[in-house]
This record gives sequence, C-alpha cells and structure tokens, in this order.
Amino acid sequence: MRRRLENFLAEHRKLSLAMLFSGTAMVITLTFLAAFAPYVARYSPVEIGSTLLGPPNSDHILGTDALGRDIFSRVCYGGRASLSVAFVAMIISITVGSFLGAAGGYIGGKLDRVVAVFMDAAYAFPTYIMAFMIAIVLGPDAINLSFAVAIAGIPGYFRIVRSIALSIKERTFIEAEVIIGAPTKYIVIHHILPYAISSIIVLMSMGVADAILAISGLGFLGIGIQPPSPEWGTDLRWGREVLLNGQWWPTVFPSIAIFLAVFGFNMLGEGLSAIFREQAGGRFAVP
Amino acid sequence: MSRTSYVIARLIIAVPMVLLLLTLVFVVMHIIPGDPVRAMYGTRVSEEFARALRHEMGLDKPLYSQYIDYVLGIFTGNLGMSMWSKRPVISEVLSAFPVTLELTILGMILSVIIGLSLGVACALKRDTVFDHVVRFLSLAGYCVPVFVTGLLEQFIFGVVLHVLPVQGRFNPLTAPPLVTNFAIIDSLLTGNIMVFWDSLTHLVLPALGLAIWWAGLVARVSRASMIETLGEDYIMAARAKGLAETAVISRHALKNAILPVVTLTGICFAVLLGGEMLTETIFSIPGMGRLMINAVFRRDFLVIQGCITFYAISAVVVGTIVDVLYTFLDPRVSN
Repeated sequence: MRRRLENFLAEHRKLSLAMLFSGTAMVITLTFLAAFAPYVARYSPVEIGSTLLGPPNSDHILGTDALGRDIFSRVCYGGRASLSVAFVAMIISITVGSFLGAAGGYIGGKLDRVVAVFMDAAYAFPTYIMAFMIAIVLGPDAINLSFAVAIAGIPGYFRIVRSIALSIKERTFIEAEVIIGAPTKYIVIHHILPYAISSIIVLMSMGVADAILAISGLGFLGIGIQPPSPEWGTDLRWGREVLLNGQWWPTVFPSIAIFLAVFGFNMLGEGLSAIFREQAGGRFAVP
Repeated sequence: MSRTSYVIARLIIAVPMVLLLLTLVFVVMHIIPGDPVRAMYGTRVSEEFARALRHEMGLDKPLYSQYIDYVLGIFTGNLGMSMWSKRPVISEVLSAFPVTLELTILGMILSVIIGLSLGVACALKRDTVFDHVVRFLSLAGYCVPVFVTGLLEQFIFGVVLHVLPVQGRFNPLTAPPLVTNFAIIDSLLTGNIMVFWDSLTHLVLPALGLAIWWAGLVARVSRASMIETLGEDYIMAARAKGLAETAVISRHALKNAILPVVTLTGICFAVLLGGEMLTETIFSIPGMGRLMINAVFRRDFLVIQGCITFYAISAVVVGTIVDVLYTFLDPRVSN
C-alpha cells in the first residue's frame, strides 16, 4: 500500500493535476457561494436575529454571531467583498507591474533604471504595512481598499516580470529575430507575450491569494470593509471578542473560508506552474 | 572587489534607499490625501480647529518645507509630539520598538529552525510519503493567515488546555522594572529567573504563530536548495573519498544549501513586521503595531507617520545587515 502510494505521488504529473483540481474546486465552490449568496443563504447577512451566539444547529447551520446574525449568510456574502476586492486589486497591480516590468526589462534605458531603483526601494518596505498606510490615508471603503492592496503589490510584480523580460531578451531566438530585422512590436506580440503569459497566469492566481490575505488582515484590524457589511476579516475581528469565552463558531467559520480561498488560489497557481513547466521544458520562466 | 569594499558599497547604497523610502512615506502621507487633517478627521471638525491642528503639526507650511522638516526631524530624532499622549513621538516609538523587535527576532529564529530542519529532512527523504506530507503542510501553513493561527493558539492553549498565557507580555503582578524594554533581557538583567520564565511563556504563542506562517516558505526553499546541492559534483567527491553520510550533509551540503535561506531571512524580517501588527493585536502586546493601530483610531497623525518611518528604516537596516552577513557565508558574492 505504502509503496503504491509513493509510486503514485512520485509521478509529479499526477500530483500537480491533483493540486490543480483541488485548487480549482475550492475556488469554484467559494466563488459560487459568494455569487449566488441570495439563493444559497436563507437569512440576510445583516438581519439581527433573536438567538445571540447560538451554536450551529439545523436552523442556522454555522450558528449565529453576537448580534444573532446567521454566520453562514455572513460567510457567503462576506466572500463577495473579500473575493471581488482581491480580484480587482490583483488585476490592477499585475497590469501596472507587468507593463512597467516588461517595458523596462525589454527596452531598458535610463527611465527603466530610475523606475527600477524606486521599485527596489518600495520593495524593501513591508508590503502589508504599505497597504495599511495607503488604506488609512484613503479611508475605508471597498474601492480604496483594492487600490491600497494593488499599489502595495506593484513592486513585487514589477521585479518578477522585469527579470522574466530580461531573461527572454537574451535568448538566441529573440536575438535572431532582431538580427533579421523584425520590428519590436512583432517580437513583443509573437515571442515575449506567449513566453511570459503562462508565468503571468500563475502569478495572477497566487496574487489573488496574497490579496485575500492582505484584505482580511486589514479587515481584522478594523481598517478594511466596515461593519455591518460582511467581510471575512472584519467578522473575525468581532468573533474574536467571544472566542475566549469558548464560543468558537463566529471565529472558526470565517477563518476556514479565508484559508480555503488562499489555499485554493495558491494550489491552483502551483498546479498550473508545474504543468506549464512540464509542457514548456526549459522555457518556463517562473522558478 | 574585496569584501571590505563590497561591504562599504552596500552600506553606501543603504543611504539613498532610506531617503527614497522616506520620500515615499512623505508622498503617501502628505500628498495623496491632500490634507492629512481632513483625511484623519473628515468633515466632523470645524475649519478653525482644523487650521489650529495643521499649524500645530506644521502642515500649513509649503510642501517642500514640510518635507525638509520631516527628513531633518528624523536625523535629529524629532518626529513631533503625539496629539493624544502629549509625549514626543520618538519616545513613544522607542519604547514600543524593542517589544516588536524581540517578538520578530524570536519568530524569525523559530521559523528558520522549524523550516530548515523540515526542508532538509524532506530533501534527504525525497519523494517519500513524509516528503509529500511536509510539502503539503508547508503550503497549507503559508496559507493560514497569522491572525487565524494566533486565534487558534489562543483557543487551544488558553481556553481548552489552560497551559499558556494568551495576553500581554508578563504576569502584571511580577512585571520587572523596565531597563531596555526587551522582556527577556530585562528579566535577566534584574536576575529574576521567575520573571524570565514568565516572559518566555508569554512570548511562545505569538512567536510560534509568526513562525508557522514563515516556516512553510523556509521549508520549501531549503528543500529545493538542498536537493540541488546534493546533486553537485563536490558532494559526489566527498562521498567518493569515503566520508560518512552525516559529515557529507552537515559539513558540505548544508553549508551551501543554507544560502538561499539567508537571502529569504532578509525579506522575512520585513514580512514578519507586517504580520506582527496582527499578532500584537491578538495577544495584546504593546509593540509598534499596537501603537500604530491605536494611533489610527485616535487620529494621531504624527504617531502613525513616526511608526511607518521607523518600520521603513528598520526594514532597510536589517536588509543591509543580511546582505553583509551573506558575504561571510558566501565568498563568491564579493568576488
């Protein structure tokens, strides 16, 4: 049995497929619950009920919080805030970061060096504290929150994409294209993008995971999505007040949701990365 | 380039790096919100009050002169006065910083010990069930946010098992007189073993929470680097000359495999500083994170700015120290 299990796991392809599928399953489940929250959840997430801090039962399957609100509804609706803000933040920071990184890395020049120095300095700054700083000067709402997390994420993506662009630039097939006189636009569209796109897809998946961590962390500190709107991190902040009395359900269920979302997107990224690497041979650019 | 000149060059680079970061902090805190007083207080205060506040904090001066005041203030240790406690910001920050530093360093040490030993063990038992389980757990560990780990620890060790304290830094009845504000050092300086033990038990859970988060990443990096090192020619040579396997691993492989882990440690400090804010909130530890979050709710602009400035400077300082240490571990860098 043990030998068979080891053989099974040793086949990397199967392992990465397993990661890919379980990651996708987690992501789809959570997205489904969030998107169809009004149909899935029986109660409104902000409706104050009569049973305060009721443990999970057949009526409220995940119990109720300190105001008697249904936790299952809050987890479903909370996913709307956490997932959509994270997704928007990831799109903004990857678009800006990859554009600057690819342009800077491939074209080079003085401007690239200046931008790179700034990005290096910003990268030295703790990402989470940067998001915190921007969130407090912009004020707490969903759009500002996604900007804060997006801006804080840019230096990281810039550095990765720039190093990918630099490494592609020196490949022989690109040099060959340059020598036969292919225009830069042609090279970028037909060689650089297809080469970098798989790396960017992997980064996007892991980027959502990072953004969810940041957003729920800010919510937990009280500077993210403001109550009574449901959001996983914000709900944990209030659940924590009763945790030490032994009432675990207002804390545990939003925690599980955050974990599954972050784990799901990371597994999806890892699985994709392994599969891309296998297909591309040595051509895949993300380590 | 000799090692000395590399180290000097690295130290010189740190200066513009700090200046750039300070500029970044200034831009975000002063220019993005337009008017920091309005950003902090909204429209709830009268114009006269807002004007008086701006004057008190020097925010009514032209931007360039605010910038010069800010940068010069940092070099002269003058970060302004806290609106809330009426104490100089620098003394508030300096009394909170050791608390944060102590916890972060302990978290770093624990994460390297846990992560490195797991990573090396995985590399040696590559593709076994143990390897796959640990790899799965280390990915999972990185995906549990620090505040969730902290809350779980509180629940398990404080509520269910009642074995470890879950709040604060000391038992308030036996708190030692503060000398350096490092709990462990203070209790040793005052020669009080009971208090030393007390502060250590208070530190275990928060530090472990931070460590679990980062250990996953350390394990992954050290596993990959150990596997790569074990495939090198000099390892084969060491084995061929008949060295015991333990000697090959500890004396030849580990030394080289540890280099990427050291690089990771430089980033680790900056990342843990961020996670630390959450840990301090959960365990009610009066460090920089607590100070800054309280300042946000008290709308104490200069304290927020002071804390962020200190975070920025300490991240660059630790990054530089790690780079310098690296040259001692890997002589190839300075060549």
